[in-house]
Amino acid sequence: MPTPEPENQGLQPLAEIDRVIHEPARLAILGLLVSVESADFLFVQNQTGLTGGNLSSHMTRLEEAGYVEVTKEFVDRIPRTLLRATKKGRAALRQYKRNLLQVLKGLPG
Amino acid sequence: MSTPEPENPNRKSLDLQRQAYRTLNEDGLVDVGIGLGLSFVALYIGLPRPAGTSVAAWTGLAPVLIMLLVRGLRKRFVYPRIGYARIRSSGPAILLMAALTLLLVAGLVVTAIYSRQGIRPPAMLMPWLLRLFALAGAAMLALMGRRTGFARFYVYSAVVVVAVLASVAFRNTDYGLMLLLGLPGLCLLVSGAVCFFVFLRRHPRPEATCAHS
Repeated sequence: MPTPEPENQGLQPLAEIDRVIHEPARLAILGLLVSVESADFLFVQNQTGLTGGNLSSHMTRLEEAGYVEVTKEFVDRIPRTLLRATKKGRAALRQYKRNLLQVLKGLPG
Repeated sequence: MSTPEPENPNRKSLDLQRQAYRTLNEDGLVDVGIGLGLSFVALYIGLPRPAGTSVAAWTGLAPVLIMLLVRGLRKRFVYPRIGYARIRSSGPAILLMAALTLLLVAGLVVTAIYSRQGIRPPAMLMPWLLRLFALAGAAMLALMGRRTGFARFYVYSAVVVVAVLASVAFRNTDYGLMLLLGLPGLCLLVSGAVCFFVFLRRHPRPEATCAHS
């Protein structure tokens, strides 16, 4: 039985990279939400520098993946959209970081 | 050619959190709140006290009122500009808050025990408890400086330590306590107010920017 070539083993972590997180805007959003307990839409927008529409579409993607939860509440009759990273999202970011570090270690240079 | 030292991955992951801390402390309102509280107590010690008033009652009420003021200012001026976020407390911060709370409770319990027995607590007990409390506060401020990267918190911490040392030099306990509380209080209040006004200029309300476009 032929033994697997070393190159295939090196590419496996790259293939396992989470494509939901592996997008700069979504990485910034999830990274920020993991760093705080919760944040509203405006805070995330200011911190990431994304436009409202852009942030909305990336948030939808993250929410569909189950990485972020969005709750709407009223504070003194003013609506507030609160964003929070889920347990699944935190675990996914940890795994993403491990995979990416492994990939980067294998790169030449 | 020497190989570069590996970067500490923990330092990188804290940058986003640190950035969030910086943003949330840029307004200087926490400084104003703490400064108001300390200045208030310093004035209370220094001015002739109305008959029948108790320090414990005032020190219990003042933080609540100040917290409401700071919250109100944040809701009105800060959140519409930069948004709202809640930060997780870190291990060291939790420990320090616990130490501060413990000292406060210890002071109140000791005072209560003495007053139940109808005897005054030793004259130097409260001032020394307050000094310990102030030093714990200085540690808290230094920790905030580390978390946010704002140098002003280190300056506050140094002012508190100087005030503690200076208060020991005073024979008159009341003047010593006024200095202990008043000097950092004034420093925090003035600095916080300046930061708040700078913050308002740096972050105009979203409607104001739309009006100009």
